[in-house]
Amino acid sequence: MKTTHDPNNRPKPGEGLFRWIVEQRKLEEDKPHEWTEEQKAALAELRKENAERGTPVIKLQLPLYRR
Amino acid sequence: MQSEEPQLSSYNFRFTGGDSNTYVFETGSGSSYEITFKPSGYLFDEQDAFRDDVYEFSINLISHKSARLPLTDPLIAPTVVGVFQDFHDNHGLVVIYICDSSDNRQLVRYRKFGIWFHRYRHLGFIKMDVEIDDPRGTIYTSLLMHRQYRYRDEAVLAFLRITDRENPK
Repeated sequence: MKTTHDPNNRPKPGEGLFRWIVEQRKLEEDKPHEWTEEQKAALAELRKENAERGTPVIKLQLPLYRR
Repeated sequence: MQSEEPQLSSYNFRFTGGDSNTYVFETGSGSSYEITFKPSGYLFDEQDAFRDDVYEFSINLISHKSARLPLTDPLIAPTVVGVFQDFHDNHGLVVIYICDSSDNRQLVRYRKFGIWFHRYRHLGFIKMDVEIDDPRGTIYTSLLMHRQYRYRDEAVLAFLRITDRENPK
């Protein structure tokens, strides 16, 4: 699960803070993602709701060379 | 576009909480997304009154069923806006959006975010964009908040202050 930024190793504004944030996010994304039990349950409910409501088919316009 | 299937205005979503204030939703094609609002008051000075209202906003595609990346889905934008509004309604918030640049598609994301914002500008939010020059590529960042936010002016000035420090030119 993702955590908030580490307050101990963070640069100050003007010392590459935004780059550090981007890099921290990438590090988090590279870790295997694990849904919590609550999130798994929420996604299962949402999947059921999607199925019950129906989902519009998105018609795609293929490029000419693929027709 | 005409379609015989029932029309959806957006996907349903759930707030699942946690340190990053996480929302989840799933698209009709089975792609699962996570939207987070990480508390990020540390970006600003301790004396800034709005500091506790600041969150870093991000949208992450966590999984998708197809081996190919999902194609553009017109229901994702209104879903993200719905999540944003829901979080705003429960927390008076200032949001910092920093485009993911790990795959060099940050400019595409930045433009898409701008298009979404423009489409939903009637909701009363304002956005301020700043580009930070960095040797490893431009970092695109935005500040968002409601027009009526009580510390609006202070937040704008403080955002300029911190991004100026990052971008001294």
